[in-house]
Amino acid sequence: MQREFKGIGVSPGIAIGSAYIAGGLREEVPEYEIADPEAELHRLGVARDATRADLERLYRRTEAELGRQHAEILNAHLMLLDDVTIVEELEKRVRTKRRNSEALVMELTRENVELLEGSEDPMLRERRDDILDVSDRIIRHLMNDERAALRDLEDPVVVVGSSIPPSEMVSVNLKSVLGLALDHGGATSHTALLARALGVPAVMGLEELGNHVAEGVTLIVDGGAGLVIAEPDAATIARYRSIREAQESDRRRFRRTCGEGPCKTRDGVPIEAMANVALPIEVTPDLRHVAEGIGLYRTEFLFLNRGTLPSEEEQYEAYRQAVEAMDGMPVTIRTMDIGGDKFITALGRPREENPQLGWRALRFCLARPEIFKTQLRAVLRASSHGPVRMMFPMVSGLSELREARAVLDEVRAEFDRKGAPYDRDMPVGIMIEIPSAVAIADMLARECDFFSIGTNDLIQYTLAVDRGNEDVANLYQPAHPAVLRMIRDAAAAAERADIPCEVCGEMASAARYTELLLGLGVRGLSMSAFALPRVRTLISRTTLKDARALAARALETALPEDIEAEAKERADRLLAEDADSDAPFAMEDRHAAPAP
Amino acid sequence: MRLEESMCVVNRLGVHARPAAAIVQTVLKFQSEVHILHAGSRVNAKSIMGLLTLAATCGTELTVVCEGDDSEAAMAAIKALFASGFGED
Repeated sequence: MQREFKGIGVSPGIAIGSAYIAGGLREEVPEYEIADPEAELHRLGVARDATRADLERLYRRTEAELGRQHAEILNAHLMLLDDVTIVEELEKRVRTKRRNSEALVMELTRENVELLEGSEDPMLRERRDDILDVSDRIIRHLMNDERAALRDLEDPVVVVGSSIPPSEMVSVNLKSVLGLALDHGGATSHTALLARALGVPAVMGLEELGNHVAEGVTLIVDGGAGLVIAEPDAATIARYRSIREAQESDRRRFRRTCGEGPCKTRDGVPIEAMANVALPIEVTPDLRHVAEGIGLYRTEFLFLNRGTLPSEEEQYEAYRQAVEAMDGMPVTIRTMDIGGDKFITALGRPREENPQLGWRALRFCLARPEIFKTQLRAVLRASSHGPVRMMFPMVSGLSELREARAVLDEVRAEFDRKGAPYDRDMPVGIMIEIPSAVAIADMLARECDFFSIGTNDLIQYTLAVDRGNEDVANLYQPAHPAVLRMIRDAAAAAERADIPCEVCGEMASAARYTELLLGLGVRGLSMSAFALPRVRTLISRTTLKDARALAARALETALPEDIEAEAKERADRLLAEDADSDAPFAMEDRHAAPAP
Repeated sequence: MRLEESMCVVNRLGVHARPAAAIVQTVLKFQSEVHILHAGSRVNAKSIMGLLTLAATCGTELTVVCEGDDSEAAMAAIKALFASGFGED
């Protein structure tokens, strides 16, 4: 019987395929007494060697396919595999307890996990997952468990599971993973970033889906809607097939119609269309054709899933690669936008009750100037290879901007003393995502070189709505006049100061908001790469006059729903201008990007 | 040569996962055996799990013992790492 499961859509697109229940971690292992400890230790050594060979092979493959940053996690696993405390303790137990290795590995792993779970440090909890991951590999080798790991899958499947360990996700055979339907994880998890970057439709936060579907049943994953349908009937499958076909044919059509190079409205107003990048693999050769630069290069991937801070060298390598790949087009590098909770231990500091209003992004960087400076040095060095813009997130007041600029000036002075090359004219801009920044936009505009509006946070903070909370999610309205007035005011302040005002939030990716944003005075849009052809096509078919008229009505409307419907209808009509009338038309909002 | 020296954890957050990994990576560059003693327990400094079990917070005094041909260099590197607050403060 057809059943629906609602979760969080973290990577758009539609997948239809049979369910593969990801092995997850073994809970039970056989247990028996052994007669010869030396023989048992030899067996354990062989399994550890095989695990090491696996990890080293995966490291090389991941480094080649996805880059060194993604391979780091496997390095951490190698360190754990050869951790002397663990290895010595295992040897001791084999000799004294005289039980089989599987049972002892499991026993010690549970003790270590318990130890780490006792901590509230999120970094330690991540290590917990790593320890489970590594032990599971050893146990599988000990038991000659031939069950296909995710990375060895051959037939295309939809992967179902509680969560995918990061080491698995970087090593999956992408050709065989149609989609992901996972119990845990959110839009900002590393697995979600990868799924989006790799174009794999994914839904997460599905409570216990794994307990309700059997291996092999048909599943539909609708990553845009955050929906998974198990055992769909024939009519439903047909409907989703046609939506998927429509999405694919749209994608091909818009890639043809969007043009290349600088983007203009129908009445000739230049609008900068740029790309958001969360992972290095998203910087593809085609990006230079459909984008005029990278409007938002997120640096968080460098800090996820690892036990150490990325070095200046490692960061510089990543930034330089993006700058060189864009070959003369600007790359806007946003300094790290992660919470202090990524770095702190709970010893002495409780977990934050409200992290969205807490110690994160620029606030964290200013309190930890050494970590901040390492990143600034890496960005400055990259700026000697091509146009780079630097952007600070979470600016709530002028003093933060001044402090951040002062730290940057210190780093610049260092470079000058050493005679190290960097771009002296590198623009320094800020994210506009806190209402207080809009209220003082005129003051901020005088002291920075560009604005980029982060609509996701701006909407959440302006309307006091957590979109992840089902009970209030309906109040998350991008077309709310309060939000639109904020955007208008920020754009107006930027114009008066003669600096560019762009939007890099999710609104920029959704075609139904394109006219509104242009009408409010925004002249640059930075979005997910998959949205670029569609939005560029729409820009080329609209006029500033129409856009302004729509925005003027929206600014005064009492009912955001009406404006939303009107804007969507206009976008759909403009986009359908040259569509094949026989082809089914894909709904625009299915392409809306998930929360970054 | 066996060297023994007392060191203080100066970074505000103590020896959590990142510093522990940094210590392991530093110690692995040397041949010497390095152990850290604290409150009656003795752990191998090449072990993340071992270091984490110390639960050393800011202000904790630890005893570092290096034994081996390059113990002086190893001790100097560890000392510099501790003094830098593991690059965190």
